[in-house]
This record gives sequence, structure tokens and C-alpha cells, in this order.
Amino acid sequence: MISLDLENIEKKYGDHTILSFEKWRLDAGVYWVKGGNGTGKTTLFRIISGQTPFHGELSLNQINLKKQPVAYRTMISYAEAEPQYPSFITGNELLNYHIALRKADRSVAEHIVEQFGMTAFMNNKIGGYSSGMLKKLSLICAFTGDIQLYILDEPLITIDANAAQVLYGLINQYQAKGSSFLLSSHQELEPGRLSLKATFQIKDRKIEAC
Amino acid sequence: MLKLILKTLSKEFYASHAGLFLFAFYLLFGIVEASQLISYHKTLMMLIYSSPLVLFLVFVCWALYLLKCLFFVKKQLKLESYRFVFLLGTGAKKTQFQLWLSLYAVLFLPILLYALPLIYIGMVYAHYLSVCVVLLCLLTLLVTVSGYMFRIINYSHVPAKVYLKTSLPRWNKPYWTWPFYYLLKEQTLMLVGSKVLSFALFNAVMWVFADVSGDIRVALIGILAAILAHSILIHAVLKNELDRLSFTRSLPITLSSKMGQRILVLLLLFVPEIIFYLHRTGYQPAHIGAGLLFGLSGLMGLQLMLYRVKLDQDQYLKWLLGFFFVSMFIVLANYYLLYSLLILLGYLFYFSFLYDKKDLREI
Repeated sequence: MISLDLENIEKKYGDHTILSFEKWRLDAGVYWVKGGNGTGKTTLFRIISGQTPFHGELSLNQINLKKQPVAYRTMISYAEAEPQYPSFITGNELLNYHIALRKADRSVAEHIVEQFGMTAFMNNKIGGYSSGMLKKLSLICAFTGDIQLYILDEPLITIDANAAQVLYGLINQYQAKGSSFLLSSHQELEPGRLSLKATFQIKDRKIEAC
Repeated sequence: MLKLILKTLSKEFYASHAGLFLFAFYLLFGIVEASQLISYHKTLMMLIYSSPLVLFLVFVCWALYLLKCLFFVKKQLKLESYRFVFLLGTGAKKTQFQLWLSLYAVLFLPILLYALPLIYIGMVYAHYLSVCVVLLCLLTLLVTVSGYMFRIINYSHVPAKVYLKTSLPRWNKPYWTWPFYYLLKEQTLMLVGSKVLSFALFNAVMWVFADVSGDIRVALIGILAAILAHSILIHAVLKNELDRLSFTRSLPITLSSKMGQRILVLLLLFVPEIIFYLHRTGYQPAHIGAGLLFGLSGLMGLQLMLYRVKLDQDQYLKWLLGFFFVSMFIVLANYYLLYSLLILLGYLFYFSFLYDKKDLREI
């Protein structure tokens, strides 16, 4: 079970306020934040994943991001919408880095690599990857380790239909183990593939249920 | 289009190479008393005309500088934000050529400005042939590079021939090595150029102040020059971190580990200069500590400046200028240890308390 709490959140880029709300609370489950481009989905995800500074309080299972940043980040995993990695490292080198950092089980990670059909490419340099392969690699890295909250920003863009099915399978599998998911997508999710607990949208800088 | 290119490419070039220009300016105009400045430069110019070999060496330096300009422009053209430059291919050949000639003339301006009195002196002292060679050299360099740019824009679809292929040994690269791989694999020329410049400037300082070379402050000014020669490298490393290592911000990395890796990268980057410095100062323990601390804190200072200005190159240039003068006076006033410690503490404070409160991607 998780408990994600955001309180008095305000996020500005210059003078432009992107997000401003008093409270948003989530417990265990799979959540979808939908909406068009520029509504603030990625900013919200970057806040929750500890990527960008903000005003307000954020905690997961009562562990505050600002007070215990390492403990907080141990519980979350973030896959960016458009991942960027150094082009001179191989997929395996990036994965090894994540495995070492998260003290993860290598065999589990290798199984996910296999499921995404990336085994043959993991020793290749990332500079030679297509955008779909890059996205798969970011998802593989995101699923490394024992994570309580997965934050997947636009996880379906650029990946092929098979990879999308693998992703749905992994989300269901990890949800059954007790993990929770925050997904964003401006496209509709495939009906019936995920048991969504709630769907949200960002409107006028506030998060509201759909 | 020319205005746009001048506003972008030339502005960025001068901002990126601020350290180089600052130090060159200091060497040319700062080390000699104002009353002797004219005679100093006159002697220097007469020296250039004194033998074909010296003249040739000057041409080589000019060519190297132009090569640096060319590599900078080529690197920028690979960026998404410079795709618009390839629209030039739709223009007439003459227009394109004139545009590149104008751009490189602007980038070459420091050399051209120095060439004017050089030509004047040559004419006054009847070195007519040498003056013709100087003019021909300048013209050839600018025309060649403009022609090459024309080729890049109009024939970018023709695959380039690979004459030399380098590959580093394959091993699992630990995270702390990634900045070095980035510099070695993707910024090779910038790395080599900065290191050559760093050694050249260090030696130039030691040579200029040879009569008081036993004074540690001379070697520290040399280190300051080497630090400034690294300004563009530090910018590149930080930009790479921002663009392609931002994923690490959501990973559970302890503060000590982050800090340790940063300091290790700066130390390793500066190891050749420190060895060289120790060699020149005779491996005295007091000099070792002072040089290492001053060098490391100087590089940290560059990083702090970049965080402060959010990688803005215009602002970086201004801060570099201030950094150069402040550091110089502090070294001369013998407060370099206190100064280095203050920067070091500022760096530790910044990464402990303020680093997470700033997102450089919000530019």
C-alpha cells in the first residue's frame, strides 16, 4: 500500500504558473493523468519524481522528498516521455548502472529486456538506437529494482504494438505485487488492458478527477 | 540571414571562448607597462618579419585559430536549433559565399585587427613581400573556410569519407567516467584544443615572468590561465549533464556520492596541469597543496558560475571576466589560500543545500 501526498503545490516557469493546488492524495492503484500537450502533466510527473524544484510538500508513505530525498527516490521510478542518454554508452552499461544503484536482481532485469525484444541490442551503443528502442530501454531501466510507485510519462509513444502489450503485462504484474502506477498519456489507453483506479486531468493548474 | 547568423553563431563563439580571449588580451596588453606598450608590439611585429620561419609559425597559429572557429560552427550546425542555417542552400552561390565570408571575418576579427598594424609596420619598414604574403594568407584562409562551409551546406547529403577511425577499449564504463567519454568521443577537438591552450598559456605566463619564476604567485597565475582555458570544457560537461544525464535526478544517489563524483571528475580533468605545475615548481610540498587547491577551486568556481547563470553564455562571459580579474588580484595580494577555501566551501554549500532547488532545464 502506498500513500502519495502533495500539499500546497505551486510550480512556476518564470512568471507563468503551471500548477497550483492545495491537496492531491493517492493510495495504491493505477492512475491515469490525461490531457493535451502543455497542460502540465510532465511538470507534475517531474515534481513527483524529484526532478524539478517546486513550492509545497510532497511525501510518499510519509517520507518527505525535501527532508529525505534519497529514501524517497528509492521508492519511486520515473520513465521520461522523451528519454535522453549519453550516446557512447551501451544499453547494458545504462542498465548495469541502474541495477547497481537500486541493488536490483539482474535476472529479473534481463527477463524484462527479453520481453521487450532488446537482448540483441543491449551491447550496442545508445547512439545507434531508434526512438522506439530508446523508449524501451528507459522502460526497462524504470522497471529495475523494488519500486513502490512507477511514474511513466507517455509510456506508449514510439513503442510498437508488441512492446505496448509487454508494458501492459508488466504494469498488471507489478500492480499485483503491490506497486502503484502513475501514467500519463494524451492518447486513449487500450480498453480493458489496465484496471485503472482513477483518471485525472489538469485544468486551470489544478488536478481534477474525470 | 547574415544578421541572424551573426547574432547566434558569432555571439555564442565569443561567449564560449571568453577565457581564451581574456587571457590573450592580458598577454598582449596587460603584461607590459602602458608607456612601453607601443614599442613592445612594434618589436613583436618586427620579430614576425625577421624570418620566414617565424612568419610561417604565425600563419600556422592563425590557421589553428580558424580551424577552431570552423569546428565550433560545425558543432553548432549539428544542433536542432541551427537547422535553419541549412535553408541557405536555397540561395544563390554568391550570396551564400559572401555570408560565410562575412561570418568568418567576424570570427577572425581579433586576428584581423592585429594584422592591420602588422601590415602597417611591414610597409613602413619595407617588408613588401612579407606584407603581400600576410594579405594572401589571410585571404586564402577566409576564402577556403567559406568555400568549405558552402560545401557543407549544399552537399551535406554526400557521405563523408572516414580516413581515421578511433575506438577506445570496450569495458563496462562506470558512471564517473561518462563525462570523460563524452569529452573524448564527442568533444575531442574541444578537449585537445583546451588542453593545448592550457599548456600554452601556462608556459606563456612562466616565460613572461621568468625573472621571478620562483614566486609561487607566478605559477598560480599560470594555473589561473589553465583554469580559464577549461571554461568551455566545463560548460560542455555541464550541458551534457543537463541534456543527457538528467535522469539521474530521480535516482537514489546520496549527496556524498554525487559530490564525490563531481570533485573526482574535476580533479582528473586537471591532473595533467597539476603534474606540469609541480614539475615547474620543483615538487615543493607547500606549492603542491596551494596549486591543487587553487586549481580545483577555480574549476569549481566555473561550475558555480554556470549554475548561477543557468548556462547562459553571455552571462558566463561577464562572470569569467570578473573571475579573472578578482582571482588575479587575490593571487597578487597573496590571499589565494583563503580565496580557494572560500570557493571550496561555497561549492560544498551549494551542492548540499541549493542544488536541488534549481532546475537548469527551466531556461
